[in-house]
Amino acid sequence: MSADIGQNVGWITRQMYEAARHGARVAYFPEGALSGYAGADFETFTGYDWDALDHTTGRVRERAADLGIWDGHGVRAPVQRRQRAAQQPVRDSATPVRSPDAMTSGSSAAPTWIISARAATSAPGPSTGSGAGHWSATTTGSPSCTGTT
Amino acid sequence: MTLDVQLMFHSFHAANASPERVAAISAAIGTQYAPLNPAATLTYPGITMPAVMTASAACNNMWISCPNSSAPESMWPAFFVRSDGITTGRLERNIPGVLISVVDTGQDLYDSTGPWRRRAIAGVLHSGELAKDDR
Repeated sequence: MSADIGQNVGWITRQMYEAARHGARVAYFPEGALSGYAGADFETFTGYDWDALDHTTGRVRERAADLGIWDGHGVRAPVQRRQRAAQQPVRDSATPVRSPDAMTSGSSAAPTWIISARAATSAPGPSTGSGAGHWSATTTGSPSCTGTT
Repeated sequence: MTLDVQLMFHSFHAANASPERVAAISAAIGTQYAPLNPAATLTYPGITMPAVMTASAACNNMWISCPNSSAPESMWPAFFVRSDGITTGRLERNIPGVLISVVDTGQDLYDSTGPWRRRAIAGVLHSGELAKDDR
């Protein structure tokens, strides 16, 4: 994970592929895996390239759909964008879902959780009405930004 | 109200710290306490975050995915904890990787808080007759 969105999306899509290759149905990434984490990976969101983040989020969604895997990663988004996104209707079950924010923040960039989903027929979870299900899930270590990878 | 959630995806970013920063946190904690606090790093995130996830899983009977950034210095490596509080997989610190975890919510696992969890969530924090005491 780094300040470089392009590098981050490369790691995410490669690890999604690796997870899917092992039969995983969910790939879940660390906080800020795509956007980077302000205060650690870079100083602040001032001057942040939000358009690039939107574009790469779309790439992750497309990759999730291609692989037939659910992807979850937290990103930061400006409050105004989050409000617009929340007003956008989900058109159908195959449309990637942007879930409500888990947190609120006084900062200009608050957390947003992105869930990239495929069709409902591929949704993970209980396959019977018994209340119990068998899941295959993946957690990942995020990409390193130090050049050691 | 209970939502009967069985699986939580909880992501972290406790990483990309300089070795000097990690050493400073360790010094603030007190390196003499390292043997008593086995952790990936002698840092507050390294000690407390995995412990909180383990306890939360066991107390709430919930499987929890705990990914963390591996950007060096990472405070602790990603792991997965079962609903009985047992860790079922863990990556290596500072090394990117994919942890494959199989989640079977139908598995018969030890549930240490099961007998009173719903009652406690409902706000009833006692059993039997509630004693009244002027103190």
